[in-house]
Amino acid sequence: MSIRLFIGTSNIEDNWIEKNYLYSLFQNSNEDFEVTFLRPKKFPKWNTFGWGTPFTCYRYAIPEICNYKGRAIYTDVDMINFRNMKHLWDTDLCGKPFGMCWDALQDNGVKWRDTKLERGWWCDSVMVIDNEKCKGIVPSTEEIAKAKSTWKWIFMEDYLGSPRKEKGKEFVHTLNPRWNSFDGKNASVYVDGNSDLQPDFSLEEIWQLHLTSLSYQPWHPKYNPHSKANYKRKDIAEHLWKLNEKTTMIAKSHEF
Amino acid sequence: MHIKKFVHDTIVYMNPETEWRYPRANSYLLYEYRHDGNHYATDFPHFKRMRKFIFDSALKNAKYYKDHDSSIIAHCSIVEHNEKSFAVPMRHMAHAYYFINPVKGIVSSKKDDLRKHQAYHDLRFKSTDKIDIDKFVQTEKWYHFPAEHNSVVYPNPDSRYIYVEYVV
Repeated sequence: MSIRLFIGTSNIEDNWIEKNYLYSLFQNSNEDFEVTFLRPKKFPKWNTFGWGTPFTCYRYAIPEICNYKGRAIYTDVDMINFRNMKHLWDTDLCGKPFGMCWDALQDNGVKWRDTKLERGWWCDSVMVIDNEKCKGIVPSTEEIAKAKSTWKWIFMEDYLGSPRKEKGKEFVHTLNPRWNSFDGKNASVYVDGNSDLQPDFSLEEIWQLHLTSLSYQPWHPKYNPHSKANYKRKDIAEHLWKLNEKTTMIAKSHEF
Repeated sequence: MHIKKFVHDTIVYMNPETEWRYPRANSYLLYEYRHDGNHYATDFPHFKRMRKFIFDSALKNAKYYKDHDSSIIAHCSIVEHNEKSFAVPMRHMAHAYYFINPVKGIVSSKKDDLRKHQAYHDLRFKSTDKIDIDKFVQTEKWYHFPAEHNSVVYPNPDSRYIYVEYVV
């Protein structure tokens, strides 16, 4: 059985990282993949106003796309894989609809400011999804398509318990944080407000790298309004550019 | 490695970005001086290897300044134009262009107001000061403009060049 992988991405602006991510996936796995890119051009009638990325809410269309059958993996596009995805695919969700990592430093905004819950949220940028169990939990695509930009956050609060981790465990199985390492960090560890202080994973410890800080993304997609900044982890930057050298030669062999 | 080859490799290996200096063009930011000390430099390996050569090449040809060792590059990027892109006038810093393939021309002026010279160019009139309009720009050669000196590039749809800004 092939691994059904959905990747949230833009129409063309993230092609650079798409090829590098796919290469890393195929490099680390002998499994068959059924890859579906979730791009804006495939969802022409959706209300995308106010989304933080060009693909923010498409991931919640996955259970319906799969006819509420089987399981699926969802990831954002800004990733590099280091471990066979079969291990993630085979994760025992313990009867729950979702598997996600916990993002201990997610800023939960004004509503939770100055409370004990001002930080920490389920992170839906890597998800293992039991499509059947999502029936009755995740709304229809028709409903999500019309929703306001805040819908995702309200859904994750109402149905997935965020920012109350213990409450959310009824619906979300906690994944190993190595499956969603934010720029090399262990994002599940709470430190006082500053992600720089979170512990680093070594390259060998990372299973799935998430190049999540938009300023640091070396490919800086055109929709990104942030100024470019130096990538802090030079070992990661070096790995990425070496990988890019290979994939570019494959993708653009006519240029050499 | 030759500068022309470096520009080609940058465009092949890096992802096209946007930049206010050249709206709608594909740009590739290589270096930017930041006042907080966190200067930006891409990790693109070809640039790491070529950085000193490019910067030295740009500055040693800056005829307005005798001592290029005391100069600082403040911005360095590569631009690739298309049918819809254009360049905005530059003025706020000393700057230079290195054209890989032809542009339609450069209009420049020492005066604050570049509009008259741009209009001459746009209307195909001859300028009263021919030095300020150069339609015969050569490729693979640095063109320098000191601070407070306006310049604007008229690109062709496929024009490629390196653009640097510097201070002394």
